[in-house]
Amino acid sequence: MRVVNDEPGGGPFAELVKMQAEFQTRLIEETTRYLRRLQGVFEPRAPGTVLQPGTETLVSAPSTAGETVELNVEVENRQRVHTMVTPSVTPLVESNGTTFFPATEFSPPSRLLAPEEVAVLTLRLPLPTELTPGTYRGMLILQGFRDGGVPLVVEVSAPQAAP
Amino acid sequence: MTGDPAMVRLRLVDEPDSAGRTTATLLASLAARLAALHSISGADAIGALTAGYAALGRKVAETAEGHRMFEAICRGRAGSNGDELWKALLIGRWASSLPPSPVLDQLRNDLALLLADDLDAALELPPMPPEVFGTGRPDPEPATPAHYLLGMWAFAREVVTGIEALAAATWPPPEQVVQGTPREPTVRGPLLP
Repeated sequence: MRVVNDEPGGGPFAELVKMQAEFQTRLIEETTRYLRRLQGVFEPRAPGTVLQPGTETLVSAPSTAGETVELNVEVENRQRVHTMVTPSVTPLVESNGTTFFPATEFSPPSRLLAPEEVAVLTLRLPLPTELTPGTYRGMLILQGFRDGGVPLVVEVSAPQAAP
Repeated sequence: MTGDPAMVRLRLVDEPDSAGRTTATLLASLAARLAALHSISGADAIGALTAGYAALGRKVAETAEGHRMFEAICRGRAGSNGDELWKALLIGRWASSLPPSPVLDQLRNDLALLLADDLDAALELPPMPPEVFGTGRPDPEPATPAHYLLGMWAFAREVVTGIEALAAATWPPPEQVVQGTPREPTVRGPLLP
């Protein structure tokens, strides 16, 4: 077989070189990825915190648009050292697909809890006036904790008509 | 405002099948982290941290507040410039190929060590072997500049709150006045008029 290098597009030899180069590049990438994963297996682990599984759901009292919902979360640190708690709320979704991104305000926004300490975090959730009535569901999560979250349900009722 | 606020009780516990968070295990984890720095390259260490901030940003973006911040970053000039920089300098490919460091856990554990009342006893114990990730190590995930910035934002807020909280117990009162001692009057002589 005669191999030439002046064919338009490089010819079969150029194609072979290109495929070989791509193969080598991919091989190096995959080998590096494998070695990094192997290295990660022996990497020291940072002990973490989880939420003890519960069946509780945080349900707000029925409220109308324009009001502010207030909810409390009592957090108990059952670990032997201090831990930081930073709560937040996911977007709330109604069954008809309406998604509400609440401008929540936690008091305090974060709390450093000593062992066996219990703290109450208050969540204030203003409901915008344009929010349509319905049942909005989401999660209250504690940032950074594995598998952490409490189902959150906010009931928004229609405003009563003026007499 | 609605009536009586609803309340739930949450309990924070150690991860199952682990030694848990104690002063000794946190100390072992910190010592192992420092020791590991001698056996890996700087690029791997910084890349894993970058991937860690991006991973934190991905989690924070799932919240309502984080989502707003993420959208704001993406829509602004910082978002587009960040994308171009990461693409041109291959930062995204580099950070996406490394397993993310658990930056928030590490910060919280280090703060807990600073507040531990049994640190002296833990330091006198023989070195304890640290737990390793094993096969439970999170795999590398695509890292983007917007997620990285969001992770840095959340991390920085935690740093500020954490350090303020650990200093709160010994915080000096505001507007403190410290009385000084009267200085000796300057002796004026013929050479120093």
